[in-house]
Amino acid sequence: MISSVSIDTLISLDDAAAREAATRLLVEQILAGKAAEPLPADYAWIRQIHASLIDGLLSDSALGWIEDRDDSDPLPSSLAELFDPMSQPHAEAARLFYHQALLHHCHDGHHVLVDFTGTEGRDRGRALAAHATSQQFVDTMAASQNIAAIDLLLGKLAWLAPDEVPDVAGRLAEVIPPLADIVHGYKGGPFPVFFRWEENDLRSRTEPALGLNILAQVQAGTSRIGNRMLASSSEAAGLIEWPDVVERLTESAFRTNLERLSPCERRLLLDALVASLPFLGKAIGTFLDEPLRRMQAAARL
Amino acid sequence: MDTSYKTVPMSEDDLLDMKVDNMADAVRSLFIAHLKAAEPVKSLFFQNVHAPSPLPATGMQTDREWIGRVSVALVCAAIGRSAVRDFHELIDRDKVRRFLEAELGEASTGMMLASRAFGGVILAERASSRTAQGEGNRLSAYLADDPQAWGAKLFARVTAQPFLTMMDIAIEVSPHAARDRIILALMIVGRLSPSKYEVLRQFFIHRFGAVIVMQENLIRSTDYDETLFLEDVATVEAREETVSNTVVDAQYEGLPTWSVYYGRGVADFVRGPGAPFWSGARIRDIEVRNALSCFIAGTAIRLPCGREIPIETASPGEQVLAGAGETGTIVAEDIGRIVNTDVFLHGINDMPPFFTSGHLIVTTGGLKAVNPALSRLNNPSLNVGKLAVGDRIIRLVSSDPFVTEEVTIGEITALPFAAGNTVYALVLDGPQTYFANSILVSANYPVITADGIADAIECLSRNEREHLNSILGPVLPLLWEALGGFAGSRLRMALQEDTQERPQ
Repeated sequence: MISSVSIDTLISLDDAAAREAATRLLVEQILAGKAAEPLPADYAWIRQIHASLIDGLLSDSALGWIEDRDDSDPLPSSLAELFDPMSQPHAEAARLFYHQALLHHCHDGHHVLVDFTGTEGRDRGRALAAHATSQQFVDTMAASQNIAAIDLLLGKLAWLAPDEVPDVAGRLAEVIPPLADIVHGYKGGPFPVFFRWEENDLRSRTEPALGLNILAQVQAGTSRIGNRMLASSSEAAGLIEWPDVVERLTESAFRTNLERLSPCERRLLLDALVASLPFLGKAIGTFLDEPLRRMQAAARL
Repeated sequence: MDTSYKTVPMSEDDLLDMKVDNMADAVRSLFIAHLKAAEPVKSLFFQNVHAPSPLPATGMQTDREWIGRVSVALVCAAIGRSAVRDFHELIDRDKVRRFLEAELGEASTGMMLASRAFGGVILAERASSRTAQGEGNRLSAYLADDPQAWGAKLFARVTAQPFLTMMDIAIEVSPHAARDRIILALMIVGRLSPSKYEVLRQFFIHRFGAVIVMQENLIRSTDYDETLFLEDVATVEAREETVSNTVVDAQYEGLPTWSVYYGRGVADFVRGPGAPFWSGARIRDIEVRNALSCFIAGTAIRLPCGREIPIETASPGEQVLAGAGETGTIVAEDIGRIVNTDVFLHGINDMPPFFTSGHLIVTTGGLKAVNPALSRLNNPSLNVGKLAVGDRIIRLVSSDPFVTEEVTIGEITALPFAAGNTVYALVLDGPQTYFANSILVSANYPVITADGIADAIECLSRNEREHLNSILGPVLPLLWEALGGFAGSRLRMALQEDTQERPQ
């Protein structure tokens, strides 16, 4: 327990790890396809993201997943729609995840926010509120318009002295117009937050694992996932053109074939091929090392 | 505290209703994050891993030195299991196994402390008493209120007769569920009021028996074996660095201009933090190469019509004049390669230097190169000799009519060529020879066939094949797509076989 009120230490606690923890928790739940704490257990937003990501991976896949809709499965929403910063489920989840993560991941390398809570927490929160409404701090915020700092400040207050949040938010909203907008439209919860997730970041964190999961299912014999089925297992299989036998593999032929894969599939395959170069090199020499590494770098962009 | 819950009054009963999803998985992830952040291993193997947040001062603490030692052992276990080159020989796998069995066993104090501390963090983050109707509180609400007081209240509640009697009955009816409930109560008390943890644990052992309480450990030794960090270790082992050699043989007898080191730092790591697990073997893994087999820009390539073009302007589909007056076709490969360190260019007799040490020159005695070892790095199946004074090379006199002459090598010259410059080589269909600055040379592009790869895979050790299959196995459907018709049945079998059943 931190024995004395150390407002400077409290102010210095940073939320970078909390943002990362909130994102990791979301990734974990998206990969599992189900919501858990701090969301309600039946939270549909997570399931929709999961379904949308899977459907996107299947539709882009070179393995040939054709749409075969079962009316009982609703069409997945678009990811852009799900991650719209103005979407209510997105805002709600972001607020809950950020708030929960802050308690144990807001730190300065030595002290964690949870150490400032407890019996002396309210006093510390009031001291923080006084600091946040001081003219000097308000002027600083007015000049910087640093809305990320608002999340952190109100987030700390929400854990230490939640009754101070409205006054502090109101005072800062006078000089930070975006906060005024969000406070005005704010319906509840411990504090309004600007924190949101980026669609591209979430995709890059989840798609490789989901892609590998799809491949594992294919190798286990699954031919239907969600609303799609493998063309090779359907009546359309007779229309599939099988490649001609090729005696010699060249870089250009391989690169052309690679273009048929989806971006996620290219990344998975090239990561694996580059990792296996110490072994493959014994078979094909080092001539392809550089092109493969270059293709891998391009696939990761 | 938030809109997703209908909060209920905070109470000891509410605390006893706390549940947490996937606790063991979450503890495992947190433990692994701390293992990767341990001082001895992070900088070499886990540079880009996010450091975990510090443990709260108000929670239970771990033995950081113990985590560091376990982390080193697990990295050494992965090195011992790895098949990348010969790094595995540096490790005494028995020593690692004995250490991990002891330190990750049930009697390990370090393991017990880690389990409690990380379990406490996960509890604090995720435990809630939420019901199906959405009513309840999170444990974090108690931590933010007056955790010591709540810990004391819960301690009193779970040491009182009603709770004990209820658990006695529960043990009779459903021992596993009862055990989970007792352990969860113990952990919640410990998280709220750490000083009460051991007292309560001893009380429960006395009251319910060690069998019920001693299974509190959330860190299962079976989750931490030599495969845990295998991928991270193999990535470092496969990383290559080039270092210029300070001495170059004046006669260019094959001594390369630079050395390529694989996995620099791994050997130092094993002899440093990993010394308790070092087998005593020395690293033999310094490989030397100067692998580019190319020409400089401006090298004249002869076309069948007799015209010459600079090599850097050659286009896919274009035909070139080959040996014996035939024609070869340029295929759509990248012909330019950037030299990543200083190299030497060579010339013959009075010709200015224009080709690298590994490039193949056609002689009356077959294919030769200044450094045959480097040629074979590009193309392992190549039969190539060493180019030397006295060898006879082929020079084009006329393309129409096609006339060549033999020229005896009187001198091989050399010129330094700086890193960052580009060199060029043609990749051909059809005949593999062409004329560069009127000298007959050969493409050095490997002829990659499915059978060749399958042969090479069969020559790998079982350890290497297991490693290769563990890397490529998950993406095989994609590999078949990318290889198209190249992936014949033999190659598919070689990559899909069960290496465990294969004799050495």
